[in-house]
Amino acid sequence: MSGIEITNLRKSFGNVKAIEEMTLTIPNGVFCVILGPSGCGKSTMLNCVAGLEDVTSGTIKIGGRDVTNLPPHARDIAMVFQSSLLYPHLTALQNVRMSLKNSDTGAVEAKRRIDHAVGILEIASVLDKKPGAMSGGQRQRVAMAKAIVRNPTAFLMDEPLAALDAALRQSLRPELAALQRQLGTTTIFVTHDQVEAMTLGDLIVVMNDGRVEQIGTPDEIYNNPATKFVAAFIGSPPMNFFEGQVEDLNNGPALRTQYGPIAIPRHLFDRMGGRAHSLGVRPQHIDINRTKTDGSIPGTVFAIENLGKESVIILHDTAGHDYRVLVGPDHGYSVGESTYMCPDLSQAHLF
Amino acid sequence: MRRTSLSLGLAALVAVIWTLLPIYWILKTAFIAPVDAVAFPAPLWPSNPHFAAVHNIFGFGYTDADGREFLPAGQSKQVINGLKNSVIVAFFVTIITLLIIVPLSYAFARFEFRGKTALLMAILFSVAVPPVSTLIPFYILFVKLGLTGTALGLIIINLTITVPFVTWMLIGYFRNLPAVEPLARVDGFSRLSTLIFIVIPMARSGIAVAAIVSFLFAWNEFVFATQLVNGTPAATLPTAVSGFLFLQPQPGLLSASLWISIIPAALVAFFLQRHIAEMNLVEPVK
Ligand SMILES: Nc1ncnc2c1ncn2[C@@H]1O[C@H](COP(=O)(O)OP(=O)(O)OP(=O)(O)O)[C@@H](O)[C@H]1O
Ligand SMILES: [Mg+2]
Repeated sequence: MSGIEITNLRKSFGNVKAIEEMTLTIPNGVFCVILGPSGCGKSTMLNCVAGLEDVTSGTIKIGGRDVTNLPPHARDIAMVFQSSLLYPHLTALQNVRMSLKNSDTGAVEAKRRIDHAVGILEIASVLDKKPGAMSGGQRQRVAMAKAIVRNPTAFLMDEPLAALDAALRQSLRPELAALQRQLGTTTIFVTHDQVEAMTLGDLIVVMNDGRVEQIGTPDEIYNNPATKFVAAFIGSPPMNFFEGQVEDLNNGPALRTQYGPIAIPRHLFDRMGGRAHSLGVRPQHIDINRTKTDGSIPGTVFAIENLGKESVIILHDTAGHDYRVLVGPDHGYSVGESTYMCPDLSQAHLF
Repeated sequence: MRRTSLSLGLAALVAVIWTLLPIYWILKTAFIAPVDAVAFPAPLWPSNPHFAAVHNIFGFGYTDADGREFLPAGQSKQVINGLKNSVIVAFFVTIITLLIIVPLSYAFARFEFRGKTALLMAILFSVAVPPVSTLIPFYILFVKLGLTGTALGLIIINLTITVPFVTWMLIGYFRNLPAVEPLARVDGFSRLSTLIFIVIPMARSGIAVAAIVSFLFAWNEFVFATQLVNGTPAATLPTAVSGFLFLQPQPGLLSASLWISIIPAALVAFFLQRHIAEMNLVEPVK
């Protein structure tokens, strides 16, 4: 049985196409992360699944049931909103109870579920507090408890960790992942934070401008980005792009740049042909030297970011493009030095 | 730090004296014997308190220690009637104002609809217009409708002031409340039940303050009452009290009836002050 099936979903607000076209199947029990920059339609997509927004066209099935025209409450979902929104005038316990107030759950069963949720989320000590008197992490747990007491077919979460500070986010991430595994409930989690996406998701959907750019596991998304957008969006520091024209020269395919040709492996060329015009290489796959070698690209050290275990050297070429190179701690370079970049072409991507 | 707390204390002291001294003076005058009331310099406290005024305004006679009898007469008979009318007018003005403004300002704060800006401007405009300027048109209208001299007429005219004013006040308050509507929809509340079971309890401080403002306005309203109901059986407390100003000076009765008009207002404000404080927080109830 499939968890959530979205088919040809489209959503417009007047003339604004928030979602151009989306088809997505999330298998039962899978943690699916929707990742994309601000304004790309993530929340809109989630609200369509939740029933908070009507779809313009397309169908949505949850647990095999077509819910496209059902109100949110009838969809058998639970939602955690941005910043773990709760009713501000109610205590944690009253907030959790609200989830079951309009359902036909009996009092005994309701109590059992609430006790269970309070137990796994360890919120017994804050049950009498109102959201204003709780910490961000506690609010997040109460919002989760409020979601799980519904025993839903699917969890929908819209950037629930976004308002928390970095340390708290880091500690809540693995808890959230563990909780989802333990419950085995199909989950859609919206975020614009790639680290959240990579660490939480079984499946990542990268969105841009109302369209799906790629659907895949974190490994696939990172190692085989389908589009230049995905390649640039995923990974920190971000991927470098060398721009030029790809041509099949007599000594093999190459990217013709203003600094001379960069040879391209045959298998990459065969996939993209002559349509490609940029070569993407991750920062850890570029070597830098002080001396020019065959196919190397000149760059001047513009800045050095010391991350402790390693450093990021930011280079500028003559046109002012940025390139980022990861090097070990004793690299010996200093700002203003002229260097040459040698991309590892076996790890490169053509777009 | 010490200096600021010292000057803060001084400022508070001045403010307290500034507000409380006149009130004390009224309190004192209500218990002063008629002979002492005209003494000069005026006594600072009632050395032998005298209870004729507080009896008379409630319609009771009073015999003092010297065996003199003070009977309620003239204007003092109006006070208890005015009190009753004021309670009726202020109560209905408050209730009707709340029934109108809660859904109205919620809709203004949360929904987009055609003509919204124009309506908001109209409300702001009616807040800005001095009430006195509408008095004559209203008077003529009320004469034609037979509403002069009735509590109903007074309630209607009070509403024309309280509704726009309090709506304007509450719109901002509702806007500042967290947008829990989608949460409520997922929890299975309809639009109407969200308003009744979620939004109104969540907004109770703002609504309580709106109630205080409406109540106090209607309770203290004098200008319209003078024109519409003064001298009729529907006269409210402020007009009844003002009657003392035009008679031969009776400072005791005047002060005693002023007390009656202050006490309910003070009680309302006292019991709802927690909400006033809460509403003034930058992030309400959050
Ligand atoms: N109610 C609405 N009316 C009109 N346009 C809307 C509405 N809701 C969203 N949009 C538009 O739809 C697009 C997608 O918005 P959406 O909120 O889904 O983005 P998002 O990916 O969730 O962004 P963020 O990361 O900032 O939350 C945006 O261009 C937005 O302006
Ligand atoms: Mg969003």
